[in-house]
This record gives sequence, structure tokens and C-alpha cells, in this order.
Amino acid sequence: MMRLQKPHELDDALREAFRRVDPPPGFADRVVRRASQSPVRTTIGTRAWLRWAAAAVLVMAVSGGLWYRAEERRRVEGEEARRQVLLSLQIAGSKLNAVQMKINRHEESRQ
Amino acid sequence: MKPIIGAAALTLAFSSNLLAQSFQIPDRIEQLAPKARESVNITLDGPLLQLASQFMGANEQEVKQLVSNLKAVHVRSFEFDREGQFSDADVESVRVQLRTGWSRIIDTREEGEHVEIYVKRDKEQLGGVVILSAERRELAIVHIDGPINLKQLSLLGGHLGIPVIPR
Amino acid sequence: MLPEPADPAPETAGHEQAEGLGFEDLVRRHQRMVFSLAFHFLRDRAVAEEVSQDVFLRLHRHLDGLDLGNGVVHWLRRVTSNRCIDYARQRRFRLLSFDSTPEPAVEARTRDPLLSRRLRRLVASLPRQSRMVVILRYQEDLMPEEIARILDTPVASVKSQLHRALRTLRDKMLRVVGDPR
Repeated sequence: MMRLQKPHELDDALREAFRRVDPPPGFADRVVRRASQSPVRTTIGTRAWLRWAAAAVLVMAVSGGLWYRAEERRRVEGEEARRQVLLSLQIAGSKLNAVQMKINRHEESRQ
Repeated sequence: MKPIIGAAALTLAFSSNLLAQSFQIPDRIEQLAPKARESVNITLDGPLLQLASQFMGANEQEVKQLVSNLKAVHVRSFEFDREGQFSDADVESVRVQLRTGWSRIIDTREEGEHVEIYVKRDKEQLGGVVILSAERRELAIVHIDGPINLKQLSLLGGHLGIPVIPR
Repeated sequence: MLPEPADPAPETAGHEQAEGLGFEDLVRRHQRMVFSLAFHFLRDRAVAEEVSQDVFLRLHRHLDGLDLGNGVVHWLRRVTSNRCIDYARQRRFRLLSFDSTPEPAVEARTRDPLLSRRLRRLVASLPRQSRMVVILRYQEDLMPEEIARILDTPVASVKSQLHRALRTLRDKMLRVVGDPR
């Protein structure tokens, strides 16, 4: 691991560690959607078709919600897997490059 | 200057054609985790790698391509509070698996850090990479299983925050 | 303890104009900043999204009929910081274990990902206000005066917190990697 020998190196390392990151995909869309939703007004009527219509909406909302939760789970798992892949390759890449730098230094010292 | 990729090609030309053994993180390495102040534990098999690929962004297509054919990725990385928390025998338990079917293309020691890179031949290309890095208070093992192109991996420099090393 | 913050109305946060910028534009323009503040402070992606959404919904409620410009950035930083600190205080947020903390993979150009993770974890162990001071300083590259305005705290306090936090981080990093001297 890099040794923070000079004061500015800690500053630099902190800036790198706290660089801005992207929110989850679709974040802006979800915010805009929530902001645009207006309260749902329900009227309770005596007509059967109104009751059936309300029940149908409820069923759709519930099943849609279940589907959404399953999709959300998949999204979370997929994003986590993506993060781990990228971190793995970063670690591998940084080790490869550290070795490459050593090789370069060794070759230069021989010249 | 001898780039790593060149070293790998040279080694492969003379390496034996023995069937490479599959590599597994030894149990005694897994048992280091409780002693570590910090640890990274990543295990990604084929299905998870495929799932991860589906979530790669537009600026991660090279990563997606590199990952697309991989079978697995394992990372174990430990940072300890003090020296002496892992032994030579722990590191040797990793090396012993890599003596058959693997070629060590890099072995460097500098300032207390010992880094070894092993590659596995699979027909005409690399079938896997193991990076073994041991410092006084840190041990890291990266195993990438599957067709891997070291040049492709090194070219990811600049895309994943890995500085591009001039050749 | 941070006093209960009152979210400033956006119109008092700046006088610059932002003609033509609708709510969606503002969300897309500033989502990284808001989410990053929340994520780096709370270290939980789902909670960070929840808090970030809440911040933007508050903006939406204040937005109608108002002109916003660069002042919206200050407003967003302030509201996000306050919401994060409140959330942490109310929920008694505990630092998750390293392996279970969902870290976003850094699109950042991180030269040493392990060092970055280590630093983020150390910062997460700081007191809430100090933690936010460090994050505002290094994520947003803000000077202590601006941080003081965002957190409604005296500048001297911010400087003192920052100085102590950096000293703590340096000491802890030296213990891990060893004093090279």
C-alpha cells in the first residue's frame, strides 16, 4: 500500500478516496417520477364497477410491486457484482503496474 | 525494457504442456481473515460475472469484453495491525498449487514487498492468472480464471484508475 | 451536537439566475454530488439513495416559481449534509463490517484502491460532524469558510475539526503501513 510520507500525499489520497460516484442507474428518473406523482384520490361509490375497478387497480399495483421488488433485488445484486468485478480488476491492475514500474526502474538502472 | 506481456509470451513459448491444475484459495489463507484489521473477500463465479457484465456502463465496455469469457474471479486481501500475522508456510500453501501447470513469469522483491505473477496456459492463450503479493503487514492474492489477455488488462489503465505505464 | 437545522429556502441561498433549468435538469446536473455526499457519509447505498431522493423532493417542493442558479448547489450541499447527520443521529447508524459494506466500485481514477477503501473506513469512524467536514473538504474541495456556512458552524470549529481529523487519519495510517522512518 502506498505510504503517505508527505503531508500532501494524505490530501491527494483523500481526494481520490472521496471522488464523486454515480448514483444507481435510473436514480434521476425515479426522483422525477416521485416528484411528479400527485396524491391519488379515491371515491367510494356504490356502483359495483367502481369497486371492481378499484380492486383491479389494487391487484395490478401489488403484482407490479412484487415484480418491482424482484427487479430491484436483481439490480442490487448485479450492481454489487459489477462493483466487485471492477475492484478485483483494479487490485490486479495496480499490482501489475507496480511490478511494471519496478521492471522499468531495474532496466533503467542497468543502462 | 521488458514489459510483463513480453515476459508472459516468452515463458509460454517454452512452458510445458502439462495439464494445469485448478487453483483454489487454501483454507489456511481463509483463516487469516479474523486476524486481519481489514480484508477484501471477493468470489465471483461465471453466472455472477455474467450478471455483473449486464450492469457495466457505456464507459466500461472494455471491461465487459475482458470479463465476458472469464470463469471466476477471486480476491483475498488482508491488512494486519503488525508484522508476523501470516507465515511463509501460508504463502507457500498458495505456491505449491502453482508448481504444476503454471508458469511464474514475474518474481520481484523490493522494500519488503514480494510479488509473484503466475500464468496458466490454455491452448494458445493464457487460461488464468494468479497474482501473489506479500508485504510485511499485507497479503493479497488475486486469481482470475479463464481466458485472460494481460495486454488487455494492462490497457485498462486510465479506464479504471490504473495509471498507464509507459513501455 | 449539531442544532436542529432548518432547511433554508432556496431563494435565500443565492441570487444567481438559472433560467430554463427545470427540476429534472437540476436533478441530472447535481445527482452525483448529492448522492456522493450521502453515500460517503452513510456508507450504505440504499440509504444514500433514500436520503438523496428526499433532498431532491424537498427541492421540488420549494422550486415552483423560484429562480435558482449556483445558489442551488449551496442549498443542496447544506440540506444533504444536514439530512445525513440527522439520519445518522436518529438511526444510530453503525459502521458495517468491511466486507458487507457495499462500496461502489470507483469509476474514480484510484491509483491504490485498497488505500482508498482504508481511508474511507477510517473517515467513517470519525464523529459525525468531523466526518462531514472531511467529506465536504475532499469530495467538494471546499474551504473551511464555505464548509462553515453549509454546516452553520463557526469557521474556527471547522478548522479545528479538520485538523484533528487529519491528525487522527495520519496516525492510524502510520500504524497500518508502518512508519517508513
